[in-house]
Amino acid sequence: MSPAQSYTGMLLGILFLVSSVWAVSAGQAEYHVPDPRHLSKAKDLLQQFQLIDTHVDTPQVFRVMSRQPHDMIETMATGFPGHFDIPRAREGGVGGVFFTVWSPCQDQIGVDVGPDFLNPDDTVRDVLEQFDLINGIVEQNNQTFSLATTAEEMEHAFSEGKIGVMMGMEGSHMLGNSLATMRVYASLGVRYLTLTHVCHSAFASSAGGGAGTDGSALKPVHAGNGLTDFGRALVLELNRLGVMVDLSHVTPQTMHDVLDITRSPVLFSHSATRALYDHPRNIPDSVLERIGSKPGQNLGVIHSILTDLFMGPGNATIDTVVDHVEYIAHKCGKAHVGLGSDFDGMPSTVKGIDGDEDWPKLIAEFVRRGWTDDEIHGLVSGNLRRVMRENEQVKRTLVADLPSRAIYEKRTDLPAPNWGGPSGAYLPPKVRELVFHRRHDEL
Amino acid sequence: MATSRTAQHRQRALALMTDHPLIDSHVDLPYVMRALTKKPVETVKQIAGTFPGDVDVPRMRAGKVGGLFMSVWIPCGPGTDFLAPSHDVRDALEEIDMIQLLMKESDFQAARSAADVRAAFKAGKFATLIGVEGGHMLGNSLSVLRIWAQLAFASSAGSGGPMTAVHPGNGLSKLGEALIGEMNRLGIMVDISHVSDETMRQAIKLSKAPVIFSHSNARAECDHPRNVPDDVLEMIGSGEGKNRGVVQCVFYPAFTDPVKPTLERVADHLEYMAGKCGKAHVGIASDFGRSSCHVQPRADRVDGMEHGVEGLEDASKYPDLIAEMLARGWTDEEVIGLMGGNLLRVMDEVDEVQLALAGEEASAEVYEERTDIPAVKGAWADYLPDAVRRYLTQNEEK
Repeated sequence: MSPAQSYTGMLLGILFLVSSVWAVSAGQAEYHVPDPRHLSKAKDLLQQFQLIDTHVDTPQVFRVMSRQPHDMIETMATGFPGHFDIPRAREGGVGGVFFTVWSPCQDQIGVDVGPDFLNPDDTVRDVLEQFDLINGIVEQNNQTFSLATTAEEMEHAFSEGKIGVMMGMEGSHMLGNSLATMRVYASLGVRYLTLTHVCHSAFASSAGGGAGTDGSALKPVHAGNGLTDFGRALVLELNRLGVMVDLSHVTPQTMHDVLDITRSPVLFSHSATRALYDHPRNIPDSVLERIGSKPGQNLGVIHSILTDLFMGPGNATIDTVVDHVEYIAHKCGKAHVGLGSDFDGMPSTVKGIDGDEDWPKLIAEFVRRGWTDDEIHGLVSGNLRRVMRENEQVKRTLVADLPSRAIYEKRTDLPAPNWGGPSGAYLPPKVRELVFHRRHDEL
Repeated sequence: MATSRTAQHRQRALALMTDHPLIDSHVDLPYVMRALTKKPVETVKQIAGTFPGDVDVPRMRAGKVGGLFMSVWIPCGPGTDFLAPSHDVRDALEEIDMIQLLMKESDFQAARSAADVRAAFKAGKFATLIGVEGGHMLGNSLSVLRIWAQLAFASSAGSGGPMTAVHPGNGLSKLGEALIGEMNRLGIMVDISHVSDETMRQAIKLSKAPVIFSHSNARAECDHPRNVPDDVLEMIGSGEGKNRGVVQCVFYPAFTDPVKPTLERVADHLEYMAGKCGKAHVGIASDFGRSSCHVQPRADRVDGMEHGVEGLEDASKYPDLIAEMLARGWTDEEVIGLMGGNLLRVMDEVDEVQLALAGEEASAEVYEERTDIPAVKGAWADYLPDAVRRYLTQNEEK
């Protein structure tokens, strides 16, 4: 054989090898179909290391599907038409999840809370119903699920062969403009609060651009388009409560404002990077530069999302997700990455992922790209658990701090002397005196 | 009736109260805290000192109170379909937050069970429990009830709702029946103060556990719609077929006597109710803070005039009531029961029912008038996975 022929032969051989490894899907997107060795390695790693998905929206879908949402709970075990259920979670090696407590932004369901977010609505009641639903999901599947509120409890669940369940709340529009409700939600087990969903709140500014919208950024309503003063009080109170501050969905200015004052490492529960795909919800470089292990940086963790809308609708694949993770790792360090799917909270996932069963395919790509076992351990939950522990530690150091007294300055219902009945008839005499003297002074 | 109690009776009362807890089943402090200031949480620390109104730690110490139920109360809203959005649930959570913060103060200790109460008493702290005054704060949802159970509620009033008939027969609605069952399952005492007579009867018949009247007097002694009629009192007791609950007398002037509400008249109510139900089925509630949805202010009352039951004006006065019962011939044992033993027994029995119902599933029932579930409007549906959307469409076509 001549050198030219052997060279051509080699080229053809390489082309053949490459094309047999690449899969072309129904659309134009291509992704690496995992090599069986990498897939097997991925599955081993998921047996060893707990994978914690920081954002699964299944409970809200139960409420969409049935007049009695609790009737849907059995589908968690028998098979659910969305992305997440127990059989597939087991198949996919899921070790822990944050189920989200969520009720829509009021303007998205035709409820007008007014420019100051003051009009009454049913959101707080609906939120309590979602808490109750998640409790029911865990109780009725308590052979599989174990409710947790700390890193240690999550790890313990995994060591017992169970899936640890925690709760994250997606949006401060659910607080009824009150820090007291946040304290109660924390006592019910919430361990992160996403500062906004797709609407501004009395606390913070949102990037908007959710599913069903045209994807453009929201028009600002707060000066500076970041945190309000009340929002600052919320962040400090979240630190005191040991509840992680989640910066997915918020504007970049909100992200910066939080990083300026928070005493704890932050979380992005389900995000992507703006450098790789320009969407208002994605994280700009200027924020990424503030997260990391160097002096002055926030030690937080950024969890990458599986929603194709924020990474290139119709084009995004498993590879795209890994590209975003690697970009964050490049900017912040491999100790600051994680995974938050957004399962059951999105119309479509990236190509190659249909649901919970497909985590090994994603992890296989990390293996293929040369991530070490330790780095993958960090990615799937080690980094998150470190951040959770640091939040718990900050809570302990702040134990002498008083609960925040701050009240939304625009409220007019407090103080509530009219609760004292006609002319304060129900009030004890001394109290009535104080209340009516104050009124007189204010006139 | 003039009093026959002496200093000796008072001394005996104090001795009994040192060794056995007096539990006040209805104290309306939270709403007073909200009436006083824009930032109610600031008042939490003030309760340890002199606080405006009837209740603060110095007077509670002087009055030798052992434990109290803090009442979560917000005013009743208008409307008869109960569906209009309001801040009720948010406001109830704010009161719960305040009570949870108060429970962390050094004079107080959180309690949910009889054992918790005894432990707090032994530690020299005021055992603090939570009661909710009015089902209107449930947002028409059994889920909210379950969340209250999780937040360690020991009792929930059936209704602080309007007096006009809104349900056929003026009793429990269908959701109300499910509510009673769920409260039994969760170990939350069913409180039938404030409810209509018919609701009282239905609740007692339906409940598998002893009930409580957290703050009610006897209608035969003072004819007020808020008080308990004889036929209902006769449903409570230790006999065959009776509900083993408790009726807690209340220091509220309008329910005590229309002309001259005094300590002695409160004692008359206690004696009357004990006569009907038995001395093992009565207890004490102050209603300090003075909250009620139904009371009309007295026309002859003037701002600044002392109001309140004469002799029971504030938390330092409990021993005088105990002294009066001793003077009327109640034995030590009967008085220990009156002060708190009867209520603690009821709490234990309610917890036993909870245990017995441990295998039962949570009620999935939803208020039949609601139209917001299934939640298909707007954003609820925008985020659905495509596969779920297809599934729903397929099922519609079937």
